[in-house]
Amino acid sequence: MNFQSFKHRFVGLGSAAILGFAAIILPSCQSLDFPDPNAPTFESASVQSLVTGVEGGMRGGIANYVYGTSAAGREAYNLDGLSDPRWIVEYIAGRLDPNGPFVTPLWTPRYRAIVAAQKLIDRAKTLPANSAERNRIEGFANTVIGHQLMAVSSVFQRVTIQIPAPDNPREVTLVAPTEGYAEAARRLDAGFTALQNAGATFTGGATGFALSRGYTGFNTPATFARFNRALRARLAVWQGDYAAAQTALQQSFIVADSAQMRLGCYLVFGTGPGDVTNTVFEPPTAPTIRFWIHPTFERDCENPTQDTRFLNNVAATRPTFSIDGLTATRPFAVFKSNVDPIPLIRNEELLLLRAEANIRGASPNIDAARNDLNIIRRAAGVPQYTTTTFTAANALDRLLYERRYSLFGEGQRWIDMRRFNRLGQLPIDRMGDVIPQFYPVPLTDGGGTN
Amino acid sequence: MTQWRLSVAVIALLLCFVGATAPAFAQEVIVSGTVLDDRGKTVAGVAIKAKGVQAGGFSDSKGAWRVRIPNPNGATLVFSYIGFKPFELKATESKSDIVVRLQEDVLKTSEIVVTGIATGVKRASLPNAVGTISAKELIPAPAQTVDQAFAGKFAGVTIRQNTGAPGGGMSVNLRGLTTLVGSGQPLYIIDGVVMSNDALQGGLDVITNATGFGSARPQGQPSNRIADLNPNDIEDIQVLKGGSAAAIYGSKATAGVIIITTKKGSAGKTRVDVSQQIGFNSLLRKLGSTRFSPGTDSANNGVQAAFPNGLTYDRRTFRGAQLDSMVNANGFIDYEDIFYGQRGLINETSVSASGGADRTQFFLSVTARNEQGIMPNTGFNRYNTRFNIGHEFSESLKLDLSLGYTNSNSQRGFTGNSNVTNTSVPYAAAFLPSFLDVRRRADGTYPVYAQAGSNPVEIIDVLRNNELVNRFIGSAKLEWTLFRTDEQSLRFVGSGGADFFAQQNNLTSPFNTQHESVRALPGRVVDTRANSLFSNMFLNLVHNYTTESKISFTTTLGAQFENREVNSLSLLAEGLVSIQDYVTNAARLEQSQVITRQYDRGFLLQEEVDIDGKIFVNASIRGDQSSNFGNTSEFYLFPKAAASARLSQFSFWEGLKSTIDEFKIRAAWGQSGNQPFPLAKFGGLVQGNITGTGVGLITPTRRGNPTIRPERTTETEFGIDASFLNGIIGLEASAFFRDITDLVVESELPRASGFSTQFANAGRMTANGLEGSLIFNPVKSESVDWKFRFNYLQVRQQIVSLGGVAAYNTGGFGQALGTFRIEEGVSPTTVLGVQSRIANNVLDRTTIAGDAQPNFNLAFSNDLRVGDFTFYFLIDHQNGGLAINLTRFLTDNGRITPDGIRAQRARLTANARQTQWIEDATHTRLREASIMYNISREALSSLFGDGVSYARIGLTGRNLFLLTNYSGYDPEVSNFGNVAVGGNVEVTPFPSSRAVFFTIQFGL
Repeated sequence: MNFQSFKHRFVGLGSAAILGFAAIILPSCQSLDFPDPNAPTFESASVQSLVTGVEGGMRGGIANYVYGTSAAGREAYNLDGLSDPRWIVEYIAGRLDPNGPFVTPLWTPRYRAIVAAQKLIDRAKTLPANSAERNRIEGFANTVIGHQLMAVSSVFQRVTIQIPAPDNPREVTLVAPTEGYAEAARRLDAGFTALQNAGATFTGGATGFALSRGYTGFNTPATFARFNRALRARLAVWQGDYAAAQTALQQSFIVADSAQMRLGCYLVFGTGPGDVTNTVFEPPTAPTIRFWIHPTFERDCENPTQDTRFLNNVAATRPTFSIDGLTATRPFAVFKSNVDPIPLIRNEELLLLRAEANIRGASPNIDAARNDLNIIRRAAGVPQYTTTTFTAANALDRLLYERRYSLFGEGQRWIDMRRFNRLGQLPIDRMGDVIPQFYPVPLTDGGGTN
Repeated sequence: MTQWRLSVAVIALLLCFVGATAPAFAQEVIVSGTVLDDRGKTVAGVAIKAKGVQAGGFSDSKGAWRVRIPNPNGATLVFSYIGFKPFELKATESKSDIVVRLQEDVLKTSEIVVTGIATGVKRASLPNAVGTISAKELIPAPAQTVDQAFAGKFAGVTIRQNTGAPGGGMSVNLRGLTTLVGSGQPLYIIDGVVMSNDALQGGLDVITNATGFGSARPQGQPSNRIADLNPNDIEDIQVLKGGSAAAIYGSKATAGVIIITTKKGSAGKTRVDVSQQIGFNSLLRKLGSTRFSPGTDSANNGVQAAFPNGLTYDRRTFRGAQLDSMVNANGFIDYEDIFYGQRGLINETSVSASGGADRTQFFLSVTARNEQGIMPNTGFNRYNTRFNIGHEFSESLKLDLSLGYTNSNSQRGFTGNSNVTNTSVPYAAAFLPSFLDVRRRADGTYPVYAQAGSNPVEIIDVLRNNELVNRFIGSAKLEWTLFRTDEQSLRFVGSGGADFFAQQNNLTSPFNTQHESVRALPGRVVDTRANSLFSNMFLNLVHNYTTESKISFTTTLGAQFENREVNSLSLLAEGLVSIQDYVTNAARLEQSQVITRQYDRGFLLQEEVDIDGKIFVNASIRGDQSSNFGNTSEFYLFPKAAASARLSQFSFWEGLKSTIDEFKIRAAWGQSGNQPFPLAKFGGLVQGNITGTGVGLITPTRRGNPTIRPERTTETEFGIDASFLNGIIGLEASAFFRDITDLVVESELPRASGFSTQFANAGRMTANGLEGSLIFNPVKSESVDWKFRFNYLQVRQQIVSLGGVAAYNTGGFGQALGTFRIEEGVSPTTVLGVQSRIANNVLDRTTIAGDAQPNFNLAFSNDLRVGDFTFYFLIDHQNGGLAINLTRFLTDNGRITPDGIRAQRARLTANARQTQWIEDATHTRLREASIMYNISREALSSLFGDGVSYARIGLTGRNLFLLTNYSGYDPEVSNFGNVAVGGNVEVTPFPSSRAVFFTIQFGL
């Protein structure tokens, strides 16, 4: 081996190796900046996907909302204490943990949808759209914000009506729920105004969007405005402003027809990709049942063999299930499948709202109230009220009875009993159990400090 | 420039000199002899290298050696062998029959320990406490996974077996907590390749409904991928325990760095090693179950007192006398025996071959391990093969290649937390009283037990949870000495490689089972496919300069490149009409995909100064850029400085040398980082589709933080290393002080902002601790060698600041069942119980339940050799610490806790719900034990002639005994897998097992 070839061979090999390393490195020197590998940015998302996102966001925490408000109103109980004792400790015993997973699902998703709707409005302002095309977004988004504020204000003892900046976590201003209702009314009214100047359709143009099948019949600015007014009527009744309720009802989709009890808008579910199901549903014949009606819902039913509002909403009697001193025999069966929709508001409630306005308004009209309630009773298959069975004296009791059976599982019972200071009349199953007046505000939002 | 020209000239001269060698010189010195160890036994494979001359070789299987030194004046020969102090022999004239006696190196003082990415120093001079585990220490009691074998082997390490399920699931912790939100797992580097230790969710928690896809706190107890390594292939493990030693690895080093080197071949006769192990797994600890008697007497565990409302069994409700007759008829069915009573066979065969010529060496190995779990239909099979080859192109150019392939298949069963239908064997079993018979009937059907939600016998029989992994790890290391003179040398050291694995999880839950039939869409299959590719490269230039006064300077300039891509796609198919393991033909499909991508670049500048083996000083600075950081253009700098002084090498120590033969003081200071979660900076929209309308997008609950930075640990370490009475007693002791700033906390945002949480560099935490090893070698003779060792660790941690982020509870299942508290002024592992009071978000510290962090960990290992017998054991003790035993909470609810229904009731009574399930986790474990018999060489040669070079047989065991007052299966548990905070929760896990093996090892 001579010197030259030796030298060249090894210098060459080493250089080749270094070049080899370099050849591997250079292409691997990608930019260290890349977009989120799993998700699109807000700026790149279409108006349609953001609208659907808002709609989907309105479903957030809905199962806990049904379980929590049903327990507070003593309508139905989730007795799944084996999986988690807090189903019983928090919702039934009433020891609500303001930071726990049984309280926050009634708060967090509402604000998440509100923020998403607000961002949608801001987004529309940046698009090349005419005023009608902007108004449709504002009409939709403000209606959603109004609804979500109503929902959160009807549950929590304090709420916030100003969206805090996430960078300033301390800056949450809590106000009374009545303030929440007032802001919800402003949002609904703003939405209503916008919808009246939003053209004929939601589709087409820079801000065009389609609503889900939960809004069938309410998917144009004019018809969506009727949904908006229906919500406004509910809110006005909750506020005790019966004159405003009457006005809103007139502009809503109320129809005095026994065949139209379920006309309205819904949260819808599906089994398609990325969709969610209605997890409250359980097959009523399953070996184990979580969600049971409260025994008093059966006991207090005046026409248990006729009333479809009872018969269609509870499953057949099963062997007594008991846990921690609570017993149940009949499963909750409002939902018939895991894609059954959950109502946002429907005609049956509007008739009940009009009846209440006629009973409690400044100039009561008992006959009109009786007429509306009889439409509902006809639909339920129970005997009509007469002038002797329904009078000014018992009108409120009868109304609350009808509301209890017509709106079973919709979270209204607890709110109704609170509105009329009757929470004390709700049954207490075990010594020490408490029916909360309101839910405590999560600690993250200033709960527990005032 | 002049210097450079000179160097070139020197290289040229050198090359000229080398190139001209072989035939030119006739004069040479030839020496030969044998090598013996301190017990007088011959040692094979001892490396012999001449100083300053190209000459050397290895001792053969009989310890004989022969070296030709091509220099008329001879040279100094250095004999080195792992585990022994190097021996220097001055060979000036040809001579034969030289006997070299190697001294065993109990303190491993001559072991070369890493101090840089391409540099190392003898342990005797090391300025940090670095843990090492040799192949010999890994072998005694064979572990299923490598990380299992770390426990007790060196000071500063604790391990936690998250689950007993076959296939692993282990968390390794070095010197306590380093982060709050991450996994806190060390960085693993094998032969220069960054190895993924990810624990990817397979989908168990989807089937059990413990959580769902994409959960932030998954409860699927996945295996972590270190499980793919074959412990038999490992030559040596070095552990950089924390910031001051690991700073050279920059922003990924806070949790420590574990550097694994696989075996290499050595020149000489080809050596074949065969090891066969056969043994079995069995349940480590049985909890028992209530023994019911008929009647209503609760003191007597009357069945009617326990179940006053009856039990729904096979769709009928049994009450009163019916229950009595069931108890009378069925007596006590030992379900633990049915569920975990399998004597799981373990069979491991390992064959390796190594050898080579002067310039090319190889190591080849094949290992097959088949292991049945203690639960029927569970198990773990792993097949490993490895091919390592090293080639010296010349004295100055050396290349090492290594390639490992792993195929593993585990059946992990259904265990852990569960909801809805409680589809988890131990969870459902918690509600299964001993007198109810849910075993399979002769007609193939299973009784329906409504209270449990699912039938655990059916789960074991028909549900499957399989994990399949195929993995390649390949690496290359090139060392090129660019020039070398007597005084200085310049080397290029480049290493790099890739780690690729494909993981497939397939879980099937047939539609016709009790728990599926209640679902809206009965029948589920989860199929998860994950691909992970890690690739990296370390390029270094190392310059060494040694003065005449024996001061050596080593300068390293290095660059690092690393890329990571993990793509995991899961499909859940629901509503099936056949018993299937595929996802087609389903009524509904749900998908979940997580992509993590990480690109890192770094540089390292390091200077090491060694003053005649007496004083060693080391300083470095590492800079890191990463795509994980909000600002990707900034180099985050991590400096370090360390020094040691071997006082025993100075002349003033002479008088002491007979009592204290080795004494070193050391101090180190350094910074290292911990990278934020790769997706922490992003805040893209999440999906909320509506069928028929299409894709819906909404803001995520976790807000992205575009300014996220690495966490920074500043660690100061002081220590002494000493050897007394000529190695009879050895001591290594260190104190460390950690200050972790920019600590990432998952700050809670006001929910009304539309977001729930955000990762933020808001916190600061301190951790101070002591660790030490005390090693004794009191008897050392030809026939008896006795060594024993204590390893000790204690750590105290405190959250100093949360930087304005509100204090919060995390982990566990809410305060009622025990949770953890992150608040200024308390330990990050503070456990809260029901009685803990928080007013205005300030914790009343007198009401905490305790701290999950142990008071201390102490390990004791004993190694006694008498003649050809070796006895070894390792005992591991944890003092203090808490674990939350929710298994007992569930068995209390199910009325089956063995202490009876009065005790259960007392714990469950509302006003007694204090911290009944938060328990002291103090425990002592006989972790490893072995008895080996070394068949003497004489016996072997009379039987096999020269065919068999050594043979050992023995009995070994792992996890043999657990002594504890803790009432669950194992206080070493984590329902939430590898999480830094909040892991110490037991929720009906896969129970721990013990393993006993018969071992035979021999060499050909």
